[in-house]
Amino acid sequence: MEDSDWNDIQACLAGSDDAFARLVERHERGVARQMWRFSRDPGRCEELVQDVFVEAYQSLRTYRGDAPFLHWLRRIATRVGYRFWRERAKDRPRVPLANIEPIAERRDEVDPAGAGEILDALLGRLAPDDRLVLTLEYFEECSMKEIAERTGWTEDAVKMRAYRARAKLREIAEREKLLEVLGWTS
Amino acid sequence: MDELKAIETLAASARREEPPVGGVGTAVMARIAASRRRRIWPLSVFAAAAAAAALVILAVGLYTAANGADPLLELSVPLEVTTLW
Repeated sequence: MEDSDWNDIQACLAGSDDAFARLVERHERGVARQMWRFSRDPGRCEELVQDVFVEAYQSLRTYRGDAPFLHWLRRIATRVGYRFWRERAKDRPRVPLANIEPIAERRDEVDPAGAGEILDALLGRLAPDDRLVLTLEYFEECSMKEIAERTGWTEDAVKMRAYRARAKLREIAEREKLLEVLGWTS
Repeated sequence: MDELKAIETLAASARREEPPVGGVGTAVMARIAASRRRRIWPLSVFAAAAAAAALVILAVGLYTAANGADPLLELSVPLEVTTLW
């Protein structure tokens, strides 16, 4: 854990708002990158990032310092994002893959934003629990153990959910003709 | 190519994406200040009501002390005795 983080946390607990502002400044990119997986609307994503930091401020006393501060923030971010998905599970618009612009002729030159959009559209067809596990696996490269730590579920439950979610995702990708949309059939 | 392999390729690329979000510090601090005010407000109302009640009790107490009879003093007052016959 960085000394600067620890010092700012202690200063913040002693009443310094400037110290918390420094923590926000230091970690907002990392948190924003994660929240972008939960909403690709810039305004909504910014609100989610704010929610994460406000929640972190309110529970800062529970941070024990046995893991880096960013890890602790990521756990809060996962909870905030998951809650957001659950609240909006019913009224989420589904973008047909066919409406998405082709992202690259060659697989090694895929545009990151386009790839993110397609992946988001695909994962958006899953239930929030399944979507969370695969989002953390694909976007954040989390191991099953890390996903379990972030979600608070057991590792076995995460493994089972990931297995089933991948099967569902494959089914969706086949039905939506993902390879044709990408032009990667050959 | 398998669908899941394609998804992994997409994910590898998507991980390089940078979100168009930044500079949330001011908004976060404003929200924290607002939530702090919201938390303090009910306490302030309670404290004001408690202070008002204490003032009333103090006023009643002072009035009673100034005008009322002290039961301890009553003990030292000689008993009035009347001769019955």
